[in-house]
Formats: sequence, C-alpha cells, structure tokens
Amino acid sequence: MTLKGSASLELEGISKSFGSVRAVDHVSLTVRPGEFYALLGPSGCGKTTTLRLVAGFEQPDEGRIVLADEEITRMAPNKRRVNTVFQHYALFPHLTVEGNVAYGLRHDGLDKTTKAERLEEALATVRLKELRERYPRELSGGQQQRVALARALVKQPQVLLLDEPLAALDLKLRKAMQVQLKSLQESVGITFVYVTHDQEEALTLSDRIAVMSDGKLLQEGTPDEIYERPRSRFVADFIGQSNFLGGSVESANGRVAVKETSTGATLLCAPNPDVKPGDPVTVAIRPEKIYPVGDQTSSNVVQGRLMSTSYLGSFVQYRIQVGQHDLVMQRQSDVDDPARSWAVGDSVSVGWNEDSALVLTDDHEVAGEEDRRLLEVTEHSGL
Amino acid sequence: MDKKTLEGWERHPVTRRGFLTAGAAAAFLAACGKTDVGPQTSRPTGAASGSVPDELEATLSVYNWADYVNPKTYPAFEKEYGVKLTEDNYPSNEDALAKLKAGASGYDIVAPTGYMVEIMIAEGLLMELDHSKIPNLSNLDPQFASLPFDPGNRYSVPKDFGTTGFGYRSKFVSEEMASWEDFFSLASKYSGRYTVLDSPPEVVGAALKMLGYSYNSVDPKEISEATDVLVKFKPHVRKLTSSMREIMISGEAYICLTWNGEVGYVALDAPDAVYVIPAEGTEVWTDNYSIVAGAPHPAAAHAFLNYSLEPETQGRDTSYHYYGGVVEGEEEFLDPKSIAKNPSVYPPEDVKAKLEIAQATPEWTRMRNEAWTKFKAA
Amino acid sequence: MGRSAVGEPRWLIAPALIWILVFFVAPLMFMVAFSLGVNEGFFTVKFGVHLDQFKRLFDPIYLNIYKDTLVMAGTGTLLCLLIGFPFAYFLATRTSRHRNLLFLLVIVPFWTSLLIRTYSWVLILGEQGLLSDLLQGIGVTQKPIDILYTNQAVLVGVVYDYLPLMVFPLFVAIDRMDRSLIEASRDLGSGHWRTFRQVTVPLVLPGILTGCLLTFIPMMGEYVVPTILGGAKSFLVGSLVANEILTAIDWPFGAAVSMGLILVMLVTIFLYLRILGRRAREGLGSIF
Repeated sequence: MTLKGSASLELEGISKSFGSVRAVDHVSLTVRPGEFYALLGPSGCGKTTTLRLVAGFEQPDEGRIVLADEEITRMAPNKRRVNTVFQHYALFPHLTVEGNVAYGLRHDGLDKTTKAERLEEALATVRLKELRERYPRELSGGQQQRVALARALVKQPQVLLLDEPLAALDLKLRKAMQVQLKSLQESVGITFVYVTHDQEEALTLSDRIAVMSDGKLLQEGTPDEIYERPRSRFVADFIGQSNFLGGSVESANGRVAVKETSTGATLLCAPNPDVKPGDPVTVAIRPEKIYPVGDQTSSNVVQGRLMSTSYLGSFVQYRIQVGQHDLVMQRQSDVDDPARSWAVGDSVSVGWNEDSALVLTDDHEVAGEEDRRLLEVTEHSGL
Repeated sequence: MDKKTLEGWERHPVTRRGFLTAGAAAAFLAACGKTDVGPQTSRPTGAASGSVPDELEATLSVYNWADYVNPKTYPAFEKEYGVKLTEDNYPSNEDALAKLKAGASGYDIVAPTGYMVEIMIAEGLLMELDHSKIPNLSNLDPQFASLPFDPGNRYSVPKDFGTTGFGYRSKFVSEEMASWEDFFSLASKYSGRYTVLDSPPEVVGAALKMLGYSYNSVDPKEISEATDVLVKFKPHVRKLTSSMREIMISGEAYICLTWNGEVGYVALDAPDAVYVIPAEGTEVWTDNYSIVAGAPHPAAAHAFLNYSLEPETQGRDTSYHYYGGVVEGEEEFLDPKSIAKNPSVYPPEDVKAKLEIAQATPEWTRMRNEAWTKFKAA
Repeated sequence: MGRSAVGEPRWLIAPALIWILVFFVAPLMFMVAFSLGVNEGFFTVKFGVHLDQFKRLFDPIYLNIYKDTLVMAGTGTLLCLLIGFPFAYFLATRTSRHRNLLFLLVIVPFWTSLLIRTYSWVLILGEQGLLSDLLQGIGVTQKPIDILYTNQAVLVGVVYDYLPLMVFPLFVAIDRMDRSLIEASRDLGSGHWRTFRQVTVPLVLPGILTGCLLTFIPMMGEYVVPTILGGAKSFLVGSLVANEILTAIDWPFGAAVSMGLILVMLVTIFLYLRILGRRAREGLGSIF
C-alpha cells in the first residue's frame, strides 16, 4: 500500500456536551500530515468523543474541524475522507473478510479492476488473503483487528482514526500488534489519530501525544516532552509515575526554590517561568530520577525511613517515608547498587538532580472531581 | 365434541317426511288448522313427555333471538310461576343449530323458525312435548296449528309469525318500492346502502321469488339463476347482518332485506321507514318455542310454553316487537289497538295468498348454503 | 426416573406434552377426521375416507377466497412492517426510561378485549365517524368519506390489532444489533439508505421474518376483524370456515377449508425456518 496523500487535521476550539455533561471542552489541536498522533487520557476524558467528532458521528456544539485545509465540521461521515478502526472492530457479521474489506469500495465509483487491486492490496497489507472467505466470528481477535484495519485502509483515507484498537487483545498480542501498527503506519504514511488510555502504548507508538482529562486538552507534545516536561500534576501522574511534594515558591530566579510544606526543607527545582515567589506549587520527581546518597553533598537530599522494598524483575522499587510523604524510588536491579544493602526500617538518604524536580502549578481546577480523587488515591498509595 | 354426540348423529338418520312437498303455497294459511290439536286430543305421547314432573323447577334457561320478547314478559312469568328465568341470544337459526349440535347444554327452550324446527327434529335436538302440560294450545289460531314442519305440534308451539320482505327509508329513496324487482333493480342506484339478513334461506328465497320461482325451489337451474342475481347484487351490499336497526335508523343504510318486525322497530325512531311485502310474494314464517332435548328443567319449560300461548302474553309481545301473534283473542291486549290493522304485521288476505312457508330438506339446505357461499364470496 | 443430558428429570415436560396432546393434537385429529367425511341428510356427518371436500376446495370460488385472504394478509403484514419498523427502531434507540413508557403504550391496548378494540374502529371509520369528521373538518374532503365495511377498513383493523406482534421481534432484533455497525457503514462511505439496506436489514432480518410470521399467520385465519369491519365486502378464509361451521353447518367442508389454511401456514413456517436455517449455518442464526 502506498501513500496517496496524507493530510493535516486541525481542531479549533471544539466543544461537545451531552446533556449537562461537557464531554469535550474547547479542544484545539493540530495533527501534522503523516503523523502518528495519540489522544491519551483516562476513560471519560473525552478522547473518544473527540475522535467521533472527527469521524462525523457527532456534531460539535462549537468550533471547527479542518481536514487538509477543508472544513468538515458539519460534513456527513460518509463524505469525509477519514476512516475509523472501531474499538470492537464493528465488523459486519453477515459479510466475509473479503466482503468487509470490499464494503467501502462498493460505491466509490471505482472501476472493477481498481477495486480488485485495492482489495488485494489491502488484504495483502494485513496478511489476510488466506482468510478472505471466513466470517468475522471465525477469526481470532488479532485477525479481526487486522480486518478492521484493512477495511479502513482500503478507502485510502487522509486520516485514519483508531479507537483503542488494541484494547480487546491480550497483553502479548497487543505488544506484537503495536509493532505491526507502527510499521504499517510508517509504510502507508497515512496520518493516524490514535485514541488510547494506555500511556505506555501512546509513548511507544506516537510521534506526538495529546493528554486529555475531563474534556480538556492538558498538554500536547512529543512522548519525551510529555514525559520529561509534564506541565501539570495530572500529566505527570498519568504518564509514568511521579512523587509529589507540596510547597510554596521561595524564589524563582532561574532555578526555582520551593519550601516543602511538611518538612520545611528547601528544594531546588528546574526553572519554570510561570511561577513567582509565594505561589503554592507541587514538585514532581520521577521515581527513577531518585538515587541513594552516601554523603550529604548534594543539594536536594532528604532523609527518611525505608518502609518497603519490591523486587520487580528489571528494577527494584523502594518506598521511603520522608516527613508525611512516601517517596518512591526506582533503581535498576543491579547487585552493586548501594540501595540493595538497605533493610526495611533503616534510616536512609536519597536525592535527585535539580533538573529532575519539576515545579507544577496547582492544576486542581483543571482536573475534575473524579481525577482529583484518583490523585489522592495515588498519593496515599505512594505512587 | 364428545363421542356420544358423534354417535348420536349416526344413530338418527334423517326422517324424510312425505308432507315436505315443494311449492306448497300458502300451506298453513289455507289448509292448516284442520288438524285439531290441543290437550283434548288423544294421541300417543313421546318418550320424554311422560317423564315431565308436575312440580316446576326453580330455574329456566331460554335460548332466544335477541330482543324478541317484551321486557315485561319474563318478569311476569317469573312472578306468576316462581321460576327464575335466564336468557341467552343467537343471531340466526343456523347459529342456534350449530351451537346446539356442538353440544351447548343447559338450555331448556329454543325459538327456531319453522324450517329449523324441522331440521332440529331430524337432528334429534328437540324434546317431544307433553300436551297435557300445555292446555293453552287450544288458544292457538287454527291457521297456525299443526303446521307442516311439525304436524300435531309434537315438538313446537308457535310463538309469533312474520314475513321476510324489505324495508326502506322513504326519506332517502325517492322511488316507491313494491316488489323484489324494485329491490334488486335499484341496487346500483343505492349502491352501498343495502343490508341483507345474514341468513341463507331468506336471501336466496328473495332472488328466487323475484325470478318468479318458488321460495322453496330445489331446481338446480333456478337456484343457479338466483345465485347469478345475488352475485351481481353483492357489490352494492354494505353489510350482511340480522341486526340492521341502528344503521337503518342512522341513515347509514337505506334499504334492508329483513323481517317485518325489524322495520316496525326502525319506524319507531325513523317514521319514514316503510316495510314492503313484495308483490311477487315471499316467505311467511312462524317462530316457535321448542324444548331442547335433555332440557334440565322440562316442567318449567312446559309452563313457559303454556304461558307464551296466553292471549295477554301474545298481545304484549306483539305490541313490543311488531310480529303477529298466533292465538285467538290477542287483539284486545294490543297496545295500541291500531297494530291489529297494520298490514305489515297482519297481512291482508290477498297478500297472504302469495306467501310461502319455508320447507327444509337436506337438498334444499345444501343448495341454499352453496348459493350463499357464492354470494358471500362475490 | 430418566434424566436427560443436562440432568433435569424428563417428566418436567409432561404437563406441556399433555397440554399439546389434549388441546392441539386431539382437536387437529378431529379436524382431519371431519375433513375426510361427508354430510348426509341435513347435517349428519358420515365419517370415512372421502376426498369430496378437498375436491370442492378447488372450485374457483374457494380458491379465490384463499387468494383474497393471501392478498389481505400479505398487504397487512407489509403495512405492519412499514409502520412497525420505524417505530421499533425509534423504540430501540431511546433511553431505557422512555423506552419503558413507549412499550407500555404498545402493550396497554392488548389489555382491552380484541372485540372492543375492533368495534371502536366502527366509530372511527364510519361515514359519521371521527375520521370522516376530521377530514371534512380540516377540509381534505367535502363529502363524508366512508371506508367502513371495505377491505381498507379490514386492513386498518388487522394492522392495528397485530402491529405489536411485529414491533416486539423487530425491537429485540434492532436492540441487539451493534449500533457501531451503522457507524462503520457510514464511515465507509455509505449514506443512510445504503446503510439501512446493506447493514441494518440483513442484520435484523431474523426479527423482520419473525415479525412477519407472527402477523401473517393470524391474519390468514382472521375472522373477527373482517366480520366487524369488512361488512359484506370482505369474505376471507376465516369467514368461510365460520360460515361452513355456523351457517351451512357443513362441518366436513369447514374442516377441509381449515386444513387448507393449515397447509398455507405450514408452508409459511417452512419457508421461514429455511431462511433462518440458512442464516444459522452462516452463523447469523437465532430466531430473534
């Protein structure tokens, strides 16, 4: 399958409410041609609704959707050059694999030869030629998923929308399909908009990620931007894990100094131009950025008591009580690591580089009621 | 259907009676009455009659045409005899026959028309009467006694008599209608405004009379001609029903093939309703009270039959339903007295001469039913 | 006590079996016996093996009655489908709260006697009825319209009476259908109409067939509605049976006419099962 022309997709201030629930709240984003773009968020965050707005199954209350410089906000779904891979595939049970894949070609006004070529090409792309006579119910989950892909790709869409396409598969198959999906996207070059709640999947596959919560787009960026520079507590927490320490800004000249609330210790953090002294902030530190400290030479060093040690194969996780906080530290499982000699109950010192401590402004207003509760739960569980 | 009934049919072959000759014009009007019937007549009684007890049972169940008795009559009987009476209704002779044949039990009295009495006797559905319990048989107008369908009144006593003609609303029908010819020929003009009885003999008979044949014809050619008349007539018929009173009164229908008393009823509310005994002649019939074979209350049933033959009962009922009484002396109980001079209730002699009484044979019945089905399906 | 594979005692089916034998098989056997008999004398049935009644059935008069009945039942079924489908679709796509209320509206008329419901149409369809008054009132016609005692009135009556029997299986089928399949079809370039034809109809076909079966069969044997609303114009197989049993008292022929009706129904059911059987082999099975 060759690239016939992928396109950009722009959402400008899109909102959609169902009754009193605002599912999508002024979302603006830009997907570049040929990009693998993930919409990431917990269930109910509005990512699927956003996708359905692009597909045309829902009409936005306000805002514009522009596909390849053409506004498609109110266009019927069958007129849009976007196609969808549905979460549960939505294969037509009364049609064979071939019938499903050819369905979208029926009325495209193509000549017979082109249709046949496109069909063969699509079946070949997803390696389904041998199964063409089968009915969907005679296929495994992975095979059904490939049919759903072929059925959408055969239409040569400008943008392919995928709604949690791997969610129904078991872990191993999901990993394998992730690889296939990525290489498929690279080979066909079509713009992919990929909805998922699985942050790892999003990080693995995407060129860029948009993190959504409570109908709002919180942050858009490349995987490493999202991971390394989360701009809100929600993003820092949802993408990977973070330790959160509350405090207020002491100074903000270049490096930000934050006075931690429970211990009164001053933490030196990465620069953040948006804060000024006195602001209540949250300091986020990734568990793997924390390391054991032998002497107290480093600036960001705290002392605490080791509460538990969890061996997780490739790495080891330590829970350390510091003041009122539980800090989680994650280390490669290396026998030479000094932390391996710790015993539960020991008094230990850990630290981190200033650049690893991110100052986040309080984003409780952004996060909804439910998310806030989630955050509290994670906080207490020490993650 | 229980086995007993099925066997019953086998055991009672149809009795063919010599008197059932077709075309016996004015059979009862001229010839009848010669047979002297009544309690004084010494005659062998049927098996059932001997077993009729003297003491009346407490209840009585009457299976009757709807609205066919003055509402005062039953209470008066109940009061006089101390019997509690209940009534069920049927819309046609055939319907009553079908129900009784199918084993409807518990009924004491049924009110079949003459030809149906004949059929019910043949089917073994009626009880032979004990004339000693019906002294009022002597009240019977001789012309209604011992009619051909039941010589000697062994199974039935007449209830009233009437004719099968047609009625029309002169407010809607400009022509003066007088014959079956008029009835059928105006059909296309008043298409959709006709109702006819939902009963084969009357309707087939009407066509036969129009063609100048006997009401009782069993000639296949004549029946076939009559059927053609009916099939052509059918598209103009609004409804086949024995209860056309409401739609005649409302003006939904203008012309109805029915019995005289029905038009009498319509005329109470629609004075422009006219009843016609067609010039070609038509059927005259009596409806009769009979006791159902195996009736649970035979003594009360006999008492009721006897009561029905009182001149007062007859006069009271005629005043209500406008069908002629069958006993002598009922005139003084008519209200208003003018009913006695109403030619549609009591046809004059010259009209009477052209009337026929239906006489059923298996063939007669079969031919009418076949013609009827063709008419209905048309 | 014998036990079936799933471990349930077999005698549990005895009440149902006895019910079927007493109230279905036995009467049917009577019917067969009657249909093979002949009327003798006035109305005495002589049993035996006579094919006279069945020969009579081939008289064009009677064949015509069957034809008229087929046309009426077929048209009625089609009308039920045309009216019932959008309604069932509407119902199936409502939230459950509204759905229950709407369902109630469909069911409530069923609590009233069929006879009363049918008679009420006399008041509506007569020339002095509500429909006529309404149409004159809004100026559609000048003269009273009079469709009472016509085949149209019979159609109105049967469609009204049997519509729920169409709506229920359709509702079940539509409700069970994965709504995302419609979106998938739209997504793949098909408009509403094509989606309806190529996705919705094939997927709810079992519901359509069941609904048609449930309405067609009682319409074939319908007696009450033509009697009340059809006046003299409507004489269908049900009326013929009633006429033969109640008026002509020709039970053998009445039984034979009924056997003809049973044959029509058996053919209908056979076709139904065949279509569904083929679908079942394709794995789209199930009656609902």
